[in-house]
Amino acid sequence: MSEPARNRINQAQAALVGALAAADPAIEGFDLFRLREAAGALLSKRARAVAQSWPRLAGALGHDYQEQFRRYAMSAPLPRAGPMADGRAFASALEKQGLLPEQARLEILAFDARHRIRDGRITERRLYFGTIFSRNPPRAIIAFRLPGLGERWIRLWS
Amino acid sequence: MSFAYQINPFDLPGPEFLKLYIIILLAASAIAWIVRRQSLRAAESLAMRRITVDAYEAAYLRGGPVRAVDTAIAMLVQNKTLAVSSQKNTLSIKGGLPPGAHPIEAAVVQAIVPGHLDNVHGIRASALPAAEHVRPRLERSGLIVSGADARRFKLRIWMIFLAVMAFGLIKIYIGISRDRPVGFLIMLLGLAAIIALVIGRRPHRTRLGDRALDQLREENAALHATARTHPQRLAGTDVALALGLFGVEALAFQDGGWSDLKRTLNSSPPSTSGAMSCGGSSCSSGCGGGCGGGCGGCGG
Amino acid sequence: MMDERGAKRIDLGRGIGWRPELAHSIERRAGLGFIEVVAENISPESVPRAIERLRERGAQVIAHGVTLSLGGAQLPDPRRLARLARISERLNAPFVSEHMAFVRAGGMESGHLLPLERTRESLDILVENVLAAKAALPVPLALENIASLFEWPAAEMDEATFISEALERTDTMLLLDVSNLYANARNHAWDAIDFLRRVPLERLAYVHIAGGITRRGLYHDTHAHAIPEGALNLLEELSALAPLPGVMLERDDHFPDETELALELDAIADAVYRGARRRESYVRTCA
Repeated sequence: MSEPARNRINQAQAALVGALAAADPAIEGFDLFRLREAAGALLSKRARAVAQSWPRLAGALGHDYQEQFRRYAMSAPLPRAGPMADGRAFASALEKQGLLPEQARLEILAFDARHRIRDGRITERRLYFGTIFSRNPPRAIIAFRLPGLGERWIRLWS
Repeated sequence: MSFAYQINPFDLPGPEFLKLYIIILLAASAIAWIVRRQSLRAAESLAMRRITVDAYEAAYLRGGPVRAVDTAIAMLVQNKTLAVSSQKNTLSIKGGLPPGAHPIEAAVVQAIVPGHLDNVHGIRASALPAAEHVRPRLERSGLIVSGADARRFKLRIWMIFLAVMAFGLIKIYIGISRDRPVGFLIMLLGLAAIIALVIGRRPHRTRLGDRALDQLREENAALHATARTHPQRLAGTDVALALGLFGVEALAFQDGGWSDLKRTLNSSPPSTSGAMSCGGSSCSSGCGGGCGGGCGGCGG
Repeated sequence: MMDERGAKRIDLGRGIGWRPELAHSIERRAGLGFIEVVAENISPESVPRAIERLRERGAQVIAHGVTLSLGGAQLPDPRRLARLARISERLNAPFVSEHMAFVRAGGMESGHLLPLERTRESLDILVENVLAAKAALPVPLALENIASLFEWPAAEMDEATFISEALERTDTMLLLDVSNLYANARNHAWDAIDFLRRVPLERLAYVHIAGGITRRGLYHDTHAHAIPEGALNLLEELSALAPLPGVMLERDDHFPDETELALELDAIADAVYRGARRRESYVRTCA
């Protein structure tokens, strides 16, 4: 197949993927109502997959989850590593805005203590040190991972 | 100089005796280990009959009476008879005991005295005798080492190590009387006692029991898969069996009570295993490790 | 059994898409001839024991890929192909299946199976990609029709033509998803029966059916709701046209309880049976 044909298809398909990820998908020649419906279905599917992978994060956000996730998803492309990575990025985005619920931190620490996301893949960590200190709920938790020792958690207070 | 005098080990110089003693200690440990394995095998004469166990027997087989009581507590929390407070590690009664409840479940509920005896560790301790009632059948089936067998086994192990230690003690006595240092030898004696404690620890399952447990877990691999991802789909008896065979950690109930329960029962943090396993649709973290793929989804 | 084209036809019977959430019900359900696993969700190095046990009981396992993006502008990724090949070998799969769709473009993942332009140019690329995939796979490949809420403008042919040509030119088998067919025929107002008459059913490897829901006039193939009557009717029509080597239910979310699941599997079997009866009586009257 000729390169130009593949390039043309690539551009057309990329435009479609981009439109579907946008808040208001519009692309010439397509039925706008249907594109909107498809974009909505895609978004809720993405949100559901993340909620299933990150149940405490989703649970802690409660009714705000859908709206918060929608806002995040509009600006963040779907990561190649799947919903675990998507949820981790969502948590980071919430943290930056100071919106991360305290109850979700344990789940995040448990993920971070074991995994890292690099080059579109989730890989096992060998070294890690992380903590949670909070006043409400009152707790102090240290998690670390060392070669040979594996993962250890120390609850100073919780 | 007589021949007998030459090979008297107690006259060996200190370092030489230490070397000999270490060799003896290693040999004794190896023999004790073989004795342990042999004692656990003894019950296999009962042959590989098909053994069926209920959830509480499975839990007992897996981890003794404490795990059986934990299974009961988890069942009661799951069917909303009990509520957990993870702040104080306490349990409280929320509803009536369901009809047909297992005696261990009844014992757990009876053990709770609101405001007085409500700590999970205390409740566990008071319900343990009830859990011991499942033991005789497991013993008769040759899955669990009986009390008499365990005592006989301990005696054998300790006889081996007491002989080794007595041998060392004589040398220590000689050493002290000759004004020689005996510190290293005392340390080796201590080591012998520690090895005796480890190898002579009370055996729980027989090797038949190990195999039966492995087989039960294997037969229930599908139950395990669903318990880790969607336990809400399981009937009560299946939840109990999953709890018994795989423990509280293996069930991914999402409500807050359940995570409180996990924390309360084993004060280690909630594992991510539930969250990590494949979510619901065709997308899962399973992708991440191997193919690094985004998810193509379920539209097809 | 070999048909006149030399393609292997394997009688799979009834099946279901294996998901850990359903593992317990699947294990308890007698008479399932095959399961399909999403290849991206399991690792060739650690196949779940529950799947191995089904294999030991005699169930066939089909590896189903969702991320090859066979209709995409790039040739399929050799790493993904190698992984799919390893899984199919590990599971001793009679064949693997993928979609006539694309999932990524311009470096972006869509997270979904998106429809292809029905143009000559796009068909040529699909054919070339599928041939590359076939060359890298140790077992035959079956291609699945997808559902889409929207279509590309300026189609040069209809879906039946596009799919038939793709299958003939690549000599691949067809994984026919009757729910996707039902969804597209309904959402884009064309005739599903006509589609069934025009695609090469002698290439049929197996059949998918799943549930969905209608929202704001569009039918969404969610795999999370009950199978609509229309999809079951279409399955019956299909069964009346050709013998079905295998039919399976796909359920990915809002998992039903065991009774409801059993009812769906029975409804599928009934529809296949009704169709087969019609086909047989038709054959008899002609003979």
